[in-house]
Amino acid sequence: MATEITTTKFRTSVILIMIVSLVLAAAAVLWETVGSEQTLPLWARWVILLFLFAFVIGVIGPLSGVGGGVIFVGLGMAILPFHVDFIRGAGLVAALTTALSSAPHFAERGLANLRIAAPLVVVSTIFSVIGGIVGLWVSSAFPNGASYVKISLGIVLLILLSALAFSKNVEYPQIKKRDKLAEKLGIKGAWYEPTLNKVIEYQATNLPIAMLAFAGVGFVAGMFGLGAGWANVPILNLVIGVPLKVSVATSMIILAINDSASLWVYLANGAVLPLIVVPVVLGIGIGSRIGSRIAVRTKPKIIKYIVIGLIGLSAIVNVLQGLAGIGVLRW
Amino acid sequence: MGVRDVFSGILPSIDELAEVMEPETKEALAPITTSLDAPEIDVPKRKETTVIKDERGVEIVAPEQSFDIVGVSRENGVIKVEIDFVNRVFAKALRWLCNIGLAVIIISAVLYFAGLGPSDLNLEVANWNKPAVEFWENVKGSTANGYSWFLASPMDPESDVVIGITLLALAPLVGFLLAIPGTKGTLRLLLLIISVEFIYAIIRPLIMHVAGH
Repeated sequence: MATEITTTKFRTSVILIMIVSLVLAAAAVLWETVGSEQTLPLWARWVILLFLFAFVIGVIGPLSGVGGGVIFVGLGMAILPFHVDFIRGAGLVAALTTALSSAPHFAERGLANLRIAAPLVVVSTIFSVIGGIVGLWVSSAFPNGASYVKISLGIVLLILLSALAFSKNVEYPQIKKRDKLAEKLGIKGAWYEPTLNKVIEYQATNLPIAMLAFAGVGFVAGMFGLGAGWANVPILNLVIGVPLKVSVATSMIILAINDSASLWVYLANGAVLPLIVVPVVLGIGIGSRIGSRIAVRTKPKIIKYIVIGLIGLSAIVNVLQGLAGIGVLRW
Repeated sequence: MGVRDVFSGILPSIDELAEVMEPETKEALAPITTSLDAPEIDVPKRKETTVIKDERGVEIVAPEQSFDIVGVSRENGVIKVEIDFVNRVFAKALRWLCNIGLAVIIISAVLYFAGLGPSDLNLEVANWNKPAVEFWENVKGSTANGYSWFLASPMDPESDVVIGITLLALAPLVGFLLAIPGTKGTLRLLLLIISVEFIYAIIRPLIMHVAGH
């Protein structure tokens, strides 16, 4: 039995590495030969490359357990030639599209709960708007603004990796004591769990601490155009004490609200470029179809480690590029 | 195999989209501690599902709740979850605006990439390493300060893609405004505050623009 599982995982890993290699090879061939001079204009080559890039992210996202938005913004800022404004704008639209597509589905199943999200969103919405304003102001007000954004994103990505490494999700957290605010607001919920064939009820605690944490999460999401589900879920699950499934679903509602609020800042500053946004949204969407199908069968560890390595590497590259940009390092 | 089957085989489902941005297990670096016990304090557990039937003979799996889900029933072997008004209206608003927004984006993108708009895409490529404000000045000669840079040219497919994105960004606000009449007490106050924050986020650039002049 164990050998069978190992063989399946090995085969899936090989297939996946082949898919990614083929896409990369196709991109390289496209760039070098087909696109030479007359065949395809430069913008078309970039649209196809960007689609393939987002497609690979879409495929490995479900397998790695790390959100596609984080991978796109982190890697994109490190290797893509676009200005950081447009990468953050595209990351935000991609995260928003996914959250908006899935939040209603979760809400209709009774999993996503607006009542839990509301007090947190009161804080995170305004901070995501402030984050967007500060992020775009830094990149445009200073001659080396983009470098400051890259350095701070690199630091955020390193914090993200360590936060994920040390946090342990709990399926049904035990609440010892409710805080007064959560009690006063009557924050509680229930959902029908088909695997247990019963309705599970839950309550919330530590609301003031969670609201403070969401202020920070909202700011980071707005400033860097990240979905920030990686921060939402642990706070909902471990700090507030909401069951894991509800945390994931409610995180989608919070993502949809925060991202759309900060997106207005990006829209008002022209930081949304259709030439970049469209292939990214489509690439991640279609890639996730394949990734999720493979993820249902197995989640090869090698992919997880590759993605974790990529995020770590892009964090370091962003910091180094940023330091080089402000003249501290030679790059 | 019909066209619908072909598309459903290619396009991602909502669950799959949810998974890519927000993987349920977060298992890359965070193992799950599984415990099948529901929270202990103040949370009534149902060890066994109470099965009762309503006047129509439909099996009721869970009694009426005052929050979140208002009932779970089993009809012809299919579990049906009913959610409360606030979550239901909010979900519907998100779904409708998301679908309309995506349709506008996709249709406009086809026209945009087919070259049916006035945009010079090679000029955009030459300038996309510049900050957004400088980019639009160089490419279209317009200042990206507020929303006029895309609202002023509705016949340009490039602007229409951005209008589609604007519809996506409007979805939660519309959801709140539709849900507020069905709320009371603290929840109504919270939703009102969030709506005001949203409206501020939308009109802030316009206020700044007017104040700047």
